[in-house]
Amino acid sequence: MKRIGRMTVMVLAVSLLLSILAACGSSGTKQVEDTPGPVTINFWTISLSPTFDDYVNARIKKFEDANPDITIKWTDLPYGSMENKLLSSIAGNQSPDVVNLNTAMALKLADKNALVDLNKEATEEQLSIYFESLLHSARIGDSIYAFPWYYGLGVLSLNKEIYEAAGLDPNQPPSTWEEMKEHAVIIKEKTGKYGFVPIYNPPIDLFLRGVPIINEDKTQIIVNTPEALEWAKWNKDLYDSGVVPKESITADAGYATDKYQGGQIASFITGSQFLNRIKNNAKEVYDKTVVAPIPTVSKDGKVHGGLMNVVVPTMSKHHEEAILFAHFITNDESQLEFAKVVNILPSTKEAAKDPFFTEGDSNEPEDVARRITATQTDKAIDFTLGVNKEGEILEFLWKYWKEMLLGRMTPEEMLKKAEADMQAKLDEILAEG
Amino acid sequence: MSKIGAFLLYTLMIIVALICLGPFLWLLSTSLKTGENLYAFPPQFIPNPITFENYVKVFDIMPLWNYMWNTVVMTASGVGLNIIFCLITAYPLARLSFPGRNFIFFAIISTMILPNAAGMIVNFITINKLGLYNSMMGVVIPSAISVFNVFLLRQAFITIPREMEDSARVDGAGEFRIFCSIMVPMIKPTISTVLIFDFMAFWNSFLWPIIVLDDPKKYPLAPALSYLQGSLSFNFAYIAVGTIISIIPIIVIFLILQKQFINGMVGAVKG
Amino acid sequence: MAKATITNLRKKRLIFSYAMLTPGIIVLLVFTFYPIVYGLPLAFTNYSVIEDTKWVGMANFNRMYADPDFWLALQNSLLYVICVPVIQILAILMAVLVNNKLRGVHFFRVAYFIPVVTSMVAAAIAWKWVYEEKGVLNYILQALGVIKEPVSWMALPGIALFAAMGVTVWKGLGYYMMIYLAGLQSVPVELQEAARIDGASRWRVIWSITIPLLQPFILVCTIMSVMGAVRVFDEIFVMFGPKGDPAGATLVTGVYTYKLAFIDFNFGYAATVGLIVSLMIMIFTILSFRFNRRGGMSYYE
Repeated sequence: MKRIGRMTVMVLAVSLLLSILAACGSSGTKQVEDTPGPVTINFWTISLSPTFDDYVNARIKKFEDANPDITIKWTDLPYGSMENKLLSSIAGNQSPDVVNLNTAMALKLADKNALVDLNKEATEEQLSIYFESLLHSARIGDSIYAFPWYYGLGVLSLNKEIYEAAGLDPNQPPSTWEEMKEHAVIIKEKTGKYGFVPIYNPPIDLFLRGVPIINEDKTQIIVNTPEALEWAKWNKDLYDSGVVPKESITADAGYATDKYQGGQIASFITGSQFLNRIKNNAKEVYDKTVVAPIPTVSKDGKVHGGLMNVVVPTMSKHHEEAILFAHFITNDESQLEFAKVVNILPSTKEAAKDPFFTEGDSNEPEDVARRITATQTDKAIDFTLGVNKEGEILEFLWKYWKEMLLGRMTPEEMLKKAEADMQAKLDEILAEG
Repeated sequence: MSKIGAFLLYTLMIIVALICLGPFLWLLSTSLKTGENLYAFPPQFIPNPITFENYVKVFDIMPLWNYMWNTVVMTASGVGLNIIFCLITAYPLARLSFPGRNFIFFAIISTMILPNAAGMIVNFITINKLGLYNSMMGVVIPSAISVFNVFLLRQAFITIPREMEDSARVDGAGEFRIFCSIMVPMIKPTISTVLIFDFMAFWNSFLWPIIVLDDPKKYPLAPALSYLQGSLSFNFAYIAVGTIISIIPIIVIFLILQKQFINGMVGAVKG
Repeated sequence: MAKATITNLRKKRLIFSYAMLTPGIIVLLVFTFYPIVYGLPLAFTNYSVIEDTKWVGMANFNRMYADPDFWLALQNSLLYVICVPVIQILAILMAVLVNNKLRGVHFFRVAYFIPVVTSMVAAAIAWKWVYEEKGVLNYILQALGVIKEPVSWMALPGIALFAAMGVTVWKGLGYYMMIYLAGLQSVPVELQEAARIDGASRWRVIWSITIPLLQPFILVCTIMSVMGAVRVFDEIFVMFGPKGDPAGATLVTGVYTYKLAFIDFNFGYAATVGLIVSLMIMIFTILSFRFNRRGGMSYYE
């Protein structure tokens, strides 16, 4: 076996040598060519198929009819494979032209200069149809890297049966977080079930509570404020008291949905677009559901909407046509039609004004949710720092928040440490330019 | 063996089997449940009523037969290529002597340990340059040979007694004929071991087919099933159905080959 | 004349050998060696696939040295090796258990192997359900009176990694059991029977005859499962996500490398971490063969 060792070392050495030679000889070439004549636009989305095949195909047909020179090739990717496929394709010069991404992913690509700056390449008119707050989610400096697409706003769903069993009135839902907690305590006592499962998102939660996170100039991290401390302490107490499950530390929307569907928690906050999951999976629970606005958080009424965007990679060979289609699939008409298929909210001003969102008086949870969230569209934001590598900066807050819940640091220490480490990371990023 | 001994053995074996099969049985039972019972608590272990509706619906909402056919094509060509390539590579390394033999063998083995951080991306670039983008060939060719299988088959070839080969030579058989009609049949057990591992790998492969294939209609089962976990729609019973459907063929293959498989394992380790 | 034939024969065999090797070697060169050769220098760059690549010298190594997440991941990966003896001992016991001629024993062998052939995604879905606060594990343990309050197996940092190991053990048992079963079936039956006639108890036979004969198998299996443990990825990734939740408690090197590459787009640094881990595995492998010169693998030299 000595020989395997020696041989491996040798192969390693030879490989290193060869690869240095190879690396010297090659360099990345990027080119953009705009060819006239018929073009094919590759359009990638994240897990919309097969449920929305009819909708997407109909939109594509309409676009192709209006633009006979452009063919759209739609590829829907399973959840979790977008990053791998996109990176490989860009490396292999098979870049798609129009891609559906969430804001965090769009920003990550944007700061690698992989996305087209729509402030430069799209027209004023094209940009004007979107809510400015949503359009600015994918902004770094003066550049805008994405057309906002659909999003959902949170609503509070209550399980009538559990609420009544605990002696509470489901028609008087909690309107503040303090009330959420009070109700949860009563529910735990009376029924043994959890009142709710907190789903933590520290940057957004803090921002909505008036913590700036970053200053106007994007040079200074501001996390350690009295508001932040109050919220952190409140959460720590809640977690320690056992009123919410210990599992909430790793809980995501899927976890809470499962618990709610199983009738194991009395209430939960979910994007209005996910109510149809409950309808499909647990009709019984859906029928017992009362929908209410989420407890107030921010003084100015701002609410968080997890946004889906549409971007155009720089490596696309047909920027103009790609932008045309990206704009088409996110325009008023397309979004309005999409909203009629599934409970999403449009990111464009005109579509949001459509009476469809506010009319009707059915007590069907999905309809109630639509009416509630429709009144909040102009207050919706998808919080971002607006600097390069924001994920790496925000990661500290996420990590220390969990460590605080686990009792490894106090709320005070958590905020101090988070601010210091985030600032250090920001300084490092600013120094890189 | 005494009756008590047998009884004890059976009891133990059943307990272990329950632990091993538990999660699988739970998926099976979930796939047979109706909507209301899916999230019932305490959970139903045996569904009541039993319904096959979920199976029907999954076949309804997606062209499952099409995906299955893709998977069969991919798995068959992948396993076939892999076994041929590994056999012809392992044989000379085991039975013939030529300059550079040991170097080649150890160089191959060392790749099991060396790091390969950007492997997928580099291979995609290569596939692209070879013009195999969006083709089934592009999906299977990088796995046409696997180092561990070469290693297993080489060990198996080594153990064949020399006389077999010599007597064939005396009869005037050519090298290739000796390989095909004497050596390969001798190591059937190991080949079935390799076959099972290959089958598992290809049948379950998820990420690489997505990357190479541009057309979702060409996707095999594993990525296609993940469509059931859509971002705006999600049905747990359907996911359970998909999982059960994807496991069954592997179990069938294993049942068919299990005796050979165990013998192959002996050969592999003992050498 | 005879000499000429021999040379001729040798030539023929030489050509045959190389002809047989060529196709496989070409595929290996293109799809296995080339990515390695291409990948090694990335450890000294800031490669991100998208941006232009720059040499950064030892910067990645310095960063790694000061990176608490790397050390955490390494520590967790090494801790993960705890599951190796558990798997091996249980697998041997299981092999002994099914090494009988009772009716229906084939069914049990197949049953034990099913976790091995199940895809990790399917297994993870099922195991999450087992580990939940109101899941089966708590249900059973509470019924048996082992615990009073339900335990959040996946949310407590001290336990989560062991919960992941539980899945690894469950999924690996059948595989190693098959190898040991193969080993047991190659042990001459007469040997065991002779010992039984001499009045040795069943356990004594297992301990002093079966186990020593299994030694070469144990060596190979141990090395394989140590490598698997240090490189563990699927279980953690599917059950705990790319950050190794809760709060990094399940962050292992495999998952960390993935996160660096595909979430932070930092392939350069990911390659550095990958390189160091591979070097460690390499050293471990060489050492364990050194210490076991007389073991079963000596054959392969």
